[in-house]
Amino acid sequence: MAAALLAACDQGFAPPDAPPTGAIMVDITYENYPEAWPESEDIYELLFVALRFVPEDTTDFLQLNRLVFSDRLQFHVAQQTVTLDSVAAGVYPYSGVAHKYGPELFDWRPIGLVEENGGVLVVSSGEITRVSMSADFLNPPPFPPPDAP
Amino acid sequence: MTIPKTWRGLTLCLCVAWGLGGMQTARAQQGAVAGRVTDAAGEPLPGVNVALLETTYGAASAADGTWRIGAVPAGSYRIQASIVGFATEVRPVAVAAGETAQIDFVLESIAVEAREIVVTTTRRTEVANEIAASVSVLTAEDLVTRNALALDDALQYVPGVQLTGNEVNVRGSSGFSYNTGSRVLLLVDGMPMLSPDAERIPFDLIPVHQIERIEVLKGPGSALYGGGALGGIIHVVTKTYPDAPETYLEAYGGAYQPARRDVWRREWKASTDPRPLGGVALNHARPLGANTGLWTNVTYRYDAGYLNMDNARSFQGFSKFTWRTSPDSHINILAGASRETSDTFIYWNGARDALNPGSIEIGSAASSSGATDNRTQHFSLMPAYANALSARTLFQAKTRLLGVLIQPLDSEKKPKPVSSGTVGFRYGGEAQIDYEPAPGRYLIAGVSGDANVTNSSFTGDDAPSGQPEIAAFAQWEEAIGRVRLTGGLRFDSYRIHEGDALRKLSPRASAAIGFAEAWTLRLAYGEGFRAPSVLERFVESSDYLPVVSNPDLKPETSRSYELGVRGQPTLGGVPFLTLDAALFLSHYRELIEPTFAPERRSFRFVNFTKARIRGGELALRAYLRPLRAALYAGYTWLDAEDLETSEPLAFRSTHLLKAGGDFRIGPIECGADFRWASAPERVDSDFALFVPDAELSTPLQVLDARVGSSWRGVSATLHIRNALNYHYLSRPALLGAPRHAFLQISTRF
Repeated sequence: MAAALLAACDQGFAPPDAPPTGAIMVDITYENYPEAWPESEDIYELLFVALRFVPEDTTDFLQLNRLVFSDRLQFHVAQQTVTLDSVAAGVYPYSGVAHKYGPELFDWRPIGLVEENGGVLVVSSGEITRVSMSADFLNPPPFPPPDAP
Repeated sequence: MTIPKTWRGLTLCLCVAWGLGGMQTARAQQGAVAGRVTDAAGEPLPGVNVALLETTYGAASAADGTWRIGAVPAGSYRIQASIVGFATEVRPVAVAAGETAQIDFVLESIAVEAREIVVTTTRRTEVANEIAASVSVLTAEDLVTRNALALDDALQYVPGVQLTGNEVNVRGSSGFSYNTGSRVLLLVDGMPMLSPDAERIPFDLIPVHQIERIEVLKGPGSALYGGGALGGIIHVVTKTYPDAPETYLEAYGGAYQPARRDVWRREWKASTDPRPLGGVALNHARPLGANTGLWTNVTYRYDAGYLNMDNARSFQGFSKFTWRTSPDSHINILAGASRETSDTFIYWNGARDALNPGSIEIGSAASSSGATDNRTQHFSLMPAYANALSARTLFQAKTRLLGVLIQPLDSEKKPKPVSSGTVGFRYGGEAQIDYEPAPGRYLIAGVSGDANVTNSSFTGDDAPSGQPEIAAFAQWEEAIGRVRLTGGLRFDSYRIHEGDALRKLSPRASAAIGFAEAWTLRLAYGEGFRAPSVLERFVESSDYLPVVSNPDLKPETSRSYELGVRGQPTLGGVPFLTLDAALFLSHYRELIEPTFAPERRSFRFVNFTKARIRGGELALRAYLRPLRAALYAGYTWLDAEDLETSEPLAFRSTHLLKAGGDFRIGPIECGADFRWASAPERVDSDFALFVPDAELSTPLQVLDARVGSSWRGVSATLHIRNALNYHYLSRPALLGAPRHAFLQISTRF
């Protein structure tokens, strides 16, 4: 009986072996193509970035452990689909295309944000979260973002 | 309604009550009843409840079996002696003025429990075996034996009741929804006592040592007690003072076992050490004079918690003063205060970091944290007056005041100003007349008023300070042979805005049909409702979750049907257990839960669905005197369906089993309780969007064990909670307590 009791101990809930991950697939449409695109030398970097928080200024982009980003996006295209794999499951309330417009560390600005679902990207374990968004070099969203209502 | 006006009303109510009391002094012809209780072998029986039925008079037998009930108006009565393990005895007694009637009871031991007395079902004293509702009773002995620390701790042992975090779920009435008001009403000596701010159950309001018994009514009770009784009622009945001074001292101390999962230990180093818990309680009760007495309790508790940022330190004081103002009347005054300073863990940082709180950042001005530290203070005052106007008429007037002050703590653990927390008061009163125009026929009618004033940093500027309520209720009972019919109706009116009232009529009907020798078949119908709290309608906060207001919330309603049977099967002509079986069907509408509103980047409370819950319940209790063993078991099956999505209703377990017992082997007393619940078939989806792994759920398999003994009036018991160290989730994103052990030492003198 004691052996049975001991064998019954420490059962139940166990944490998953690895952190749960999912994927993000984004369909990006560039507004005012092609005239809105800057010259290639004015595009120091172009990435799709998903943040686990809402940034207050460009210094927040240094919190690399709290954001995920894509490989460099294609330049001078009307639209592009980009996939981020092995993204930690969770909520990403601020996501969009980030444009590095100068050589300085903080020369970053968003040129388009995910607006579906209130802008909140939810990544579930083992699933692909697919969203569409538009970006516009001429009409970037305000940054820092105003507080949510 | 303003505070001064309300207090004027309450004062007037009490003055009327006093006036009625004065009418009785002319017939102060009084005597007494006294005697001794022994078992068949002549051994004295202490702790036997001796009561004059249909009156407020009663006593408990002392260690030598003697008892006395004084200041009894002359007349004819029925007197009852009852205790677990013995057959209840009822006898007629005539009390003459200036004399003491002598009644000695010799109680026969039986294989099953004595008849339990309940008051919740019809607002008057009844024998549990004869009522037309499902009621479970926890006695003071049940609480002390298990060293229940608070009301929620005690409720874990009631069949059909499941605690999901701090939400009480009676037969599936509640799943889990953050900060929704309680769908189960708390009564303290018949008075509703939900918290003024969020309409939730203040589990620490009454010290467990002050509790005579807890009655749990399963099913809607709004026809009797108004809003909040959507799924059931928890009725705490407090003790009165004994005939002789009595002091009870208890101390306990122990620890939580260190975390066993390596991944959790890595994330919180302190989890590798035992985490202490302990407390001390002192109770003293005594007569203060010929007609007055006091029951008082002070309790201190500390719990280091098994999660990071989850600990509590509390101090609690509570007293009950009783004054027999005339031979026919008495006043009870309950008063209490408590202070708890705590870190409270709300949700984890994921299943791999389950011992640390998480956070949510979805664009509000401030991030939301999965833990909070507060200082919470409660104050309560509950004067009640009862007067037997005649042998057939009882008048009761009760008032209540419950105050709560919640202050967040700053980084130095000092309370922030009240303006950054919550301050609230609930106050009200009721008057009730019980009239028995003929044997077996009872009429009960009354009125009540209730209001709350809350000022909270969690609500927006447009929030009203409260939603006052008035109500009137009436109930009729008629016994026709072995059939007892009951019908009741209650009208409630809440003022939810200036000039805007919410009105609700709640009916109930039931029949109890006696058959065979000790069996009762019952049929019951009842309706319930719950008005959303001010906090649910007007919350504006981002402290723990980003939440915005929804002033248009409608009340939740329920409608329930029950068919049940209760009785005592016999073996060789001797009853060997008490059985209660029930089939029930409940419909809920306009259920309220917080859901995510993407356009607001916040949660908000909404009326989200209607639901049907049907099921069955079987409860067994037995007291096997030859083996000195008390046993119980209860199984509940639920089929809970969301009628709008045709999916299972979230957070409801299909199967719930509770079983346990206490045994005595020589000088050793031991016992165990086991509770098992299947994993919910569905869990909430919105919350899981923001808290990692909050969609996970587990079955529940918890075994509590205890062993102890007594020597020269000192008892020592070792309790091992969750003895199998089963890992489970007590609610989404929150681990249940691991194995923890503590030694309880107590003495009574």
